Amino acid sequence: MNALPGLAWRSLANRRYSAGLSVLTIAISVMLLLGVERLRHEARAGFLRSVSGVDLIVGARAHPVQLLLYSVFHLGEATQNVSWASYRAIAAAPGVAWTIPLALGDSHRGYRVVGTSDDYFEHLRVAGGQPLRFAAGTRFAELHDAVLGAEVAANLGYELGDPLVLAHGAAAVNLHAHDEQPFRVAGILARTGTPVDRAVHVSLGAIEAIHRNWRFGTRIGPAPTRAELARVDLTPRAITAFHVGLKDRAASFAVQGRINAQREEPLSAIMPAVALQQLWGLLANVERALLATAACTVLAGLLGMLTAVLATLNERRREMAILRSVGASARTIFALLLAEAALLTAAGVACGVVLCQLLLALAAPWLGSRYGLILPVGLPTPGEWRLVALVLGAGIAVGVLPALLAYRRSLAEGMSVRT
Amino acid sequence: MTACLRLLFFLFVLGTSAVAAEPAEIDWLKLLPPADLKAMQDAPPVDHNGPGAPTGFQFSGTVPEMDGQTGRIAGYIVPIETDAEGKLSEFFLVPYFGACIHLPAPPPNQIVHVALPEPIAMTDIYAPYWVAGTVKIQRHNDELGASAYAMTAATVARWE
Amino acid sequence: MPAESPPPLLRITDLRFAWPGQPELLAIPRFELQPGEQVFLYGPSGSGKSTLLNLVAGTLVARHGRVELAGRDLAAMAATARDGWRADHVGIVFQQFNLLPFLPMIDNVLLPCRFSARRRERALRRDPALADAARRLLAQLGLDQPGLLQRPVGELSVGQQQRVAAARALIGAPELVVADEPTSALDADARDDFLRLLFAECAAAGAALLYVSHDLSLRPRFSRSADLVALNRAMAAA
Repeated sequence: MNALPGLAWRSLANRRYSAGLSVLTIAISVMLLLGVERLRHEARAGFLRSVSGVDLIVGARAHPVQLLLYSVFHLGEATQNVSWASYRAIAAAPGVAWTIPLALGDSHRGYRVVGTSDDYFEHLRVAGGQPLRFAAGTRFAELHDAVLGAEVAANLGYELGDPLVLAHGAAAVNLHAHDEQPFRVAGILARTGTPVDRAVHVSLGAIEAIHRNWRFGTRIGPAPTRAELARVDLTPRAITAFHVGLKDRAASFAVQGRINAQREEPLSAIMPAVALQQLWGLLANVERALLATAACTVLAGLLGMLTAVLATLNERRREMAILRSVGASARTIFALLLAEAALLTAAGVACGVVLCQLLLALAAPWLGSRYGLILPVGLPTPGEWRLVALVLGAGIAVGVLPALLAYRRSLAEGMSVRT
Repeated sequence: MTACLRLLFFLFVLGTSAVAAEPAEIDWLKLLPPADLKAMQDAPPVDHNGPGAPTGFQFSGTVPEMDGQTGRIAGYIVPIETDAEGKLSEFFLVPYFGACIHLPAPPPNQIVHVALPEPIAMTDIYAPYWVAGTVKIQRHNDELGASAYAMTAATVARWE
Repeated sequence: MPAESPPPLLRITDLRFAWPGQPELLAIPRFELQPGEQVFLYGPSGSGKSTLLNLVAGTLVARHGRVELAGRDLAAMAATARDGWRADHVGIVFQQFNLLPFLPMIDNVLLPCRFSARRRERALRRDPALADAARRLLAQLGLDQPGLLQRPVGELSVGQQQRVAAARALIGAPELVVADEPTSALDADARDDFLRLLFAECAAAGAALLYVSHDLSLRPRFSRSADLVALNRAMAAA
């Protein structure tokens, strides 16, 4: 029936305010649904991208998820440190190929500072085996050199050679700045799509150096001079955590067990992939609840559309009678109303997709800096298209009711409108 | 006439059952050399009280006959490596749940190291799975206590 | 040998109809309409005239009796075929609210051409494009003032709306035009104008006209008249 789309479209355009409201309701609910799904999907993918090729992560005894969160994602804090002696002992154990030490606790304008060694740039992998690459500059050469993650450099507008001052603690605005020992941007890393982008990397010695005249979080006495720093041993007394790469991956269980069982210092060794799964286990119910809520809003939107269409059904009995009189079959009436419901849903869904992209574009920077979530803005993923198809199907299913009512009434009344 | 039909029916049933047959199940205990098996059976019960993580057995001997055997083993998947899309590409298969979390690690000859030819969607660490493939014995430095067995050409299915 | 008379355009034989659960509303033993005939059918409210029009147009089907329109028995056709037959052969003018508010005037006139290929073809015989056919018909019905065609149909006067409805009924020259009280909402002058134009256009198109009304003052203008109350045995019995 080639007359249909034109008639359906014009009929809706005639009732543009009520139709527009239906479209808006559906659009907002679809925006929410897709937003939640995107968040779920990307958060999961983002987290999984962040760690690759690391067999174990070791820190002071803690819940595996907590250790994972602060060592990899820079979320939260460690309650205890790992002594340098324990670290060196494990690093020297047979079967350990490499380690990456991490000293956390300082920040720079809201971004975490990671004290580490050259092993970080040598051995860290992301997203299925990708090594770190430099967009500009090189690793630490001088004591006060800093290597910035891609996002830090981009958001704060840093270039090679620029100075920066670190602050003690992780707060965005900090009273306690290590301003007597400014740093210099020596390198900027290429974008990885992981928390590496949001970190400021300095050497372990540098962390020691800036804390020489600090005790319990406050400044005591004058800052050390350059000459003094050159003389003194800047080996750290403790670090926060470290990554371990084994010569033989198959030994992960055994090494993990030995580290966890040793009595010298309370340490936890975790397998990152397992800790990630535990994290997702914790979050699974939250995810499900979010998705269920979003689905309910879609349902509410569709029911709103149903109400709007049903409300107009009575007024449109004359329209139906006229159409019947010029030769439209009752089936055409059914199809007309169904087409209207389909058009409304389709328009709502299309607007919802667009709104979702806008919302994500607006929220992405905040989510990135606050929660470590990197949400790429782009066309919907296959999973999201599936949801879109579901909503379309639901809209058409909802449209069947008024269509059926109109069909039966049209059959019964013919061309006479009984008032 | 009816005898012919009966024969056809019998052959049909036989044929379909052969096609649908599951690979032979491999018992975890079959992976233990007889000496280790005896030691495990004679050992005292694990002490859950007291400080520190309980220590596990450190058997690493292997059963040579298992090398090259195809079959399927039921166990829990401990993920090791994922690809760029977050799909599981490498894991350990262990006989009991919690091996990576709060119980002592199983002995090396009760761990199967699996590298998948094609990454699959991430599995549930809390659920058991059937992993079917060919068992291979890996030569390792016993001092490390590495896993002794691997499985190649593996497929993973939910345990029903 | 006497020449065979052409078959009637509309032939109703022994028609009986009742709404479900209601006493019999219509019982018409015989009614015929010849091609090109203009008939005034007197039907006061409650006489079942709306039901009869539905039966004639094929939107309702009687379980007893025959309604033959343009040679086919409507009851013997499937519903979709009946709807198509109606589109092909009948144009209908209602008492009021004839037009779809969301379509412009021309599209309202051309509605039957959307549902009937036959009417479409016949309209295109005289004019190169459908829009031209519609415009010509509207002009013949007195609706050719500049700027009128662009006005939304809701802004037209009742008289103008009825004329648009007449144009719609006549586009593509169907064989039968059914008018259900088309002038009862018009004042006397508008009514006279409308009738004059309707007669002229029906004659020009060769269409028969079945004009149903309770206004007996119009009866003299028609060459033939009938009385539904007299025709309908069910009324007599009641």
